[in-house]
Amino acid sequence: MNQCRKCNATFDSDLERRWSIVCSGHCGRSFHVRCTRLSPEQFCAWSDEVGLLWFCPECLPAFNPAVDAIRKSTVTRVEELDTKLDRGLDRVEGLLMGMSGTYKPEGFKDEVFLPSLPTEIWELIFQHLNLYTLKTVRLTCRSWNEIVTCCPSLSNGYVFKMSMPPKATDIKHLRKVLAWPGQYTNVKVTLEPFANPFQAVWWKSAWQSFGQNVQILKCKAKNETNPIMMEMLSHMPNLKDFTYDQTDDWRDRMMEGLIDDLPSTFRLDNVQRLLLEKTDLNVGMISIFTRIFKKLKVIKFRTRCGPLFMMENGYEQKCVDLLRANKNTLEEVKLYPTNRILDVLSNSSKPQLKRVSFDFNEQIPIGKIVQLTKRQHKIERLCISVTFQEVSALYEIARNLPNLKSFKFAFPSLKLAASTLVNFAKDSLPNFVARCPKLRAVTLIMGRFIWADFPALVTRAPSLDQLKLLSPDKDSHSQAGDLFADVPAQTSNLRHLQLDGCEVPEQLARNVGYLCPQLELLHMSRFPAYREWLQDGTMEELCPTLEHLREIKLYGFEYLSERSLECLVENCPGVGKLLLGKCSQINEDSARDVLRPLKGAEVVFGCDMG
Amino acid sequence: MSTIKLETSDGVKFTVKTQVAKCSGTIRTMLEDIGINPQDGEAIPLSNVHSTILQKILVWAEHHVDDPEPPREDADAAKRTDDICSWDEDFLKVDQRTLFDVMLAANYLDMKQLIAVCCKTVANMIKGKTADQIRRTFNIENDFPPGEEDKIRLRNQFCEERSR
Repeated sequence: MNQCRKCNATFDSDLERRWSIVCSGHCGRSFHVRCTRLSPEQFCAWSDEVGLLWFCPECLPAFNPAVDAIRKSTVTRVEELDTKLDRGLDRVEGLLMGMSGTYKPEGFKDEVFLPSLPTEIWELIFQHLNLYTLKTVRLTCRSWNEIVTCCPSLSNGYVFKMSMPPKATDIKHLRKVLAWPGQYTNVKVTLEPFANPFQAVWWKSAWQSFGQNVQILKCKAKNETNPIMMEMLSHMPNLKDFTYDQTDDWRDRMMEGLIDDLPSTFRLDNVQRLLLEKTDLNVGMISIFTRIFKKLKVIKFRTRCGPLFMMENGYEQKCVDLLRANKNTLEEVKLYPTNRILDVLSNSSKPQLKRVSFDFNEQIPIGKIVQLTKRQHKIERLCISVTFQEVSALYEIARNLPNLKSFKFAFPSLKLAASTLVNFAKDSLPNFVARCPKLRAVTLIMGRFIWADFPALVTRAPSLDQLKLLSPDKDSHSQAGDLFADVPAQTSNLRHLQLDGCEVPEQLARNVGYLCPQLELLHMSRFPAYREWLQDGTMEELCPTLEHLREIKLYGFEYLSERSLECLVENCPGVGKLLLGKCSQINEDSARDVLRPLKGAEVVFGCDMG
Repeated sequence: MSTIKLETSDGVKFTVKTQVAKCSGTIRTMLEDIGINPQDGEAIPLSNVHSTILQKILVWAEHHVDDPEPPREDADAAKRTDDICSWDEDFLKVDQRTLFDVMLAANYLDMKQLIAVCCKTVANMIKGKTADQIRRTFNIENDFPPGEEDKIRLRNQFCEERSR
């Protein structure tokens, strides 16, 4: 990189280095400015302005589409530009002419030595590596670089991140990265309004070459930048997965005009997944999505502020339109339900939904959910939050869904009147799981859990593999009694158990290993009101029963000391990950000493509860 | 117990328990779908596998013949490379040539579990090394034209791990 590729002389002084220009094309080589026949003004423009690309004659032909686009946008923009800008764009034209000259770069070597494994095996190998290692793999040789960048399952695993307008420090790099039609398939973009027309020109030309490859796009935008985003989308015919998020200052306007501006032919039929963040603030976007997406398999809406605002903005009708537009392909929905939306989903022509997740809406009776499951009997994953009195409705859901694999129940807000509260009667949850032959995962959030049900819950469904109990109600523990009054005949096949923010009875913690001998992951954290229950003695009994343990989290146990960790090291050699938080008696340095025998284990101090 | 015969590329014939041979998806398909009858005494030709490698693979298959069907793991678990059982670890302590030949043969024979454990072994050989060390490990030539590595480094800067 220290030679001018035109005259082959080195850049020997700082001054010469400063007066060098780098080709934005494939070769990325440096040139003396004097060798390029650029005027000093042109060179200054290049080094000052974000949007200016310069190509050497070798690379220029390959970028004709981009160059044409810039020329075209120059012509269309001329009318609205002031004289100062005209001068600037003249400079763009001058730069894009490139230099005249006939030098040839030395030919690339074509032969590559690679261990004799086919590409698909290397792909399998690389799939075991994290991004950090993949970056090194890319630097190893050309063919490995190609494998990593061309294989979608690998390149989808990392995100190409950029913001527009770019930060000053990124400008030079981005110019190069975008000028080379790269193989980035997974892209995250933050959009801000353009500060000057140069940026718009640059941006357009960049996406024309870059957009073809993009399969996954996460876009953080503002209302003002939505036209820019739509333009970007129009250059991404291969997009499969789209996430829209919005920066914090929001104004739900410009939507109607934007829809009118869309050409009637503009559709993105490859997009299968749509995720709309902050749906309550972006109800208008749903109409746009209805226009351009007709083959969605997955629709997910996340809400932040609550439903009131959404309903005012016509959420229900817009959502129904989107669901109807995609009714032939839809497999997964996550949204805020209304009775009408549930009716639309229930009345579909054929049962097709596989994964369903509904936020809490107090107007939805559980009967509506039962009705949905009657029609959509292929559902495998169900996440609901409703009030109900009779537990028989749950049993009916279990009967309707023979393929149910994952069940999540978020208890409705406890602020509601006590009469509407959900109470799982004793034995109702174990009876429910026993009716679902394929159930693998159960999650319960915020509720009254009867701990005496625990042994039956984990043993009744032999297929049950994961159980999460997250912050159940404070009253849960009081109903505990003697947990092992009826010891279940068989043990559990549970491999993952998370008890986060729970008042787990000490008796249970002590015996969880006997009950679930297959446990590989155990997370425990507790409420501060009952801090003294878990002590070293508990761990001394617990650890020897967890021979398959690979990951453990202990949060907020102030009575645990390093002795507990010694126990863990002695009894569970397979532990590869250990998370500790708010265990104030455990000193980080001495704990690391104790844990040294767990070779290669990842140890995190100060983890969060959730 | 029924046996079948396999013939390798160098003409060596192996007599193998049918159950062990069925660890290979390729052989299983031949026997069950295409209906080659092992009782005929005719050997199944494996033209892509050398006898030294087949011998090694049969040792592995013999040891793992009773393994249960592995559970379908989620994407995060697939990244683990520290869960190779110690028998396999010892089994794969071989020179690189043999390791790669075993992988090629396992690929040809469609033995998913063996491929997976080999891939993890190779991934472990890559982890924690610099690009230069990786090249030396696998005897790869640095074939980047001048400046290309810098460009890739630049691109790497804009990449971040996908959050799930």
